[in-house]
Amino acid sequence: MENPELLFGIPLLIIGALGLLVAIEMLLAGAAPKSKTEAAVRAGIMAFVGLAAATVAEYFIATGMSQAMALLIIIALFKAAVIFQFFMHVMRLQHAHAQEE
Amino acid sequence: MAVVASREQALAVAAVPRVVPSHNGGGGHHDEPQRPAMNQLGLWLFFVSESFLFASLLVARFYLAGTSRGHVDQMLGLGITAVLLVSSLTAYLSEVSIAQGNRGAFLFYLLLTIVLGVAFAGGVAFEWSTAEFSRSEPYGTAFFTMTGLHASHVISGVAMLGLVYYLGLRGHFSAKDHWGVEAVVKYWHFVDVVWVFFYPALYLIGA
Repeated sequence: MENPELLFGIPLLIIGALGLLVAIEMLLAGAAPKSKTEAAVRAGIMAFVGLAAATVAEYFIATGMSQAMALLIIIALFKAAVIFQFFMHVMRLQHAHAQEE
Repeated sequence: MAVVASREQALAVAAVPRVVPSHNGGGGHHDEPQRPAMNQLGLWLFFVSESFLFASLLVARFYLAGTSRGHVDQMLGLGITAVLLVSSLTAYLSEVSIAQGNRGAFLFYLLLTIVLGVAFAGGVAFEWSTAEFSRSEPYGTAFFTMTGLHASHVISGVAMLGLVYYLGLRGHFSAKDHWGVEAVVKYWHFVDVVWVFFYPALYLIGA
């Protein structure tokens, strides 16, 4: 490990990312979505913020830790799951199939 | 004869109009049968087949070069990753806009997605031109193959987004009928998912 002190940044980054998400959620919850469009836009923005936070986290983890492969894989899986769920609506595939049947 | 019979059966089945409500809540067109479930299934099967291709490249990267890594521009890598991430959001907003019949926003976000896609491809091209390793090295082989194949998908995605933009300008697509937009935007998200795994494999893992 070149810079062990950077390890202290990991929990801070996680807390910071969670804090950001909670803060945005609270701001957004202040006014209930007026329409389906608004709700969809909010969901998309929330997903984007989560992806951005995860990307920043993986960058700092990779540059600060030499043995962080497992952590990076977990973050990548998390990011892929967010894209599949919120942007690609993978769950709708099952609903569409049920409708057709 | 069995083949001919099964082909005739398939044609007969395909000729039967089937009106199915769209997943967006809108009703299907009575004069234009929609088959959203089959379309969705076909698209996702395509993604699965593509995933095998990209997964094999990901495995090949570690088989060839282990966890070692050539010198890459970290800021450039993070920059193009951010660009692709933002383009996923704009593509999503474009799809949401047309689903609600907002053609102006749909075209605006689609154009933004195209610009960001071109910027990503430009960033990869710049990385190629400044790479300090050759394609004959194990890591170089993996790097150029993976980024090259991914960039080709980005370019084909930009071309399809451009086609959708052109059709959108000419009045195609509506809140009830926008499968073309949905499919291309999903493809764009898939390209982003691939980069989610390629970015750490090429830029972050290893020393």
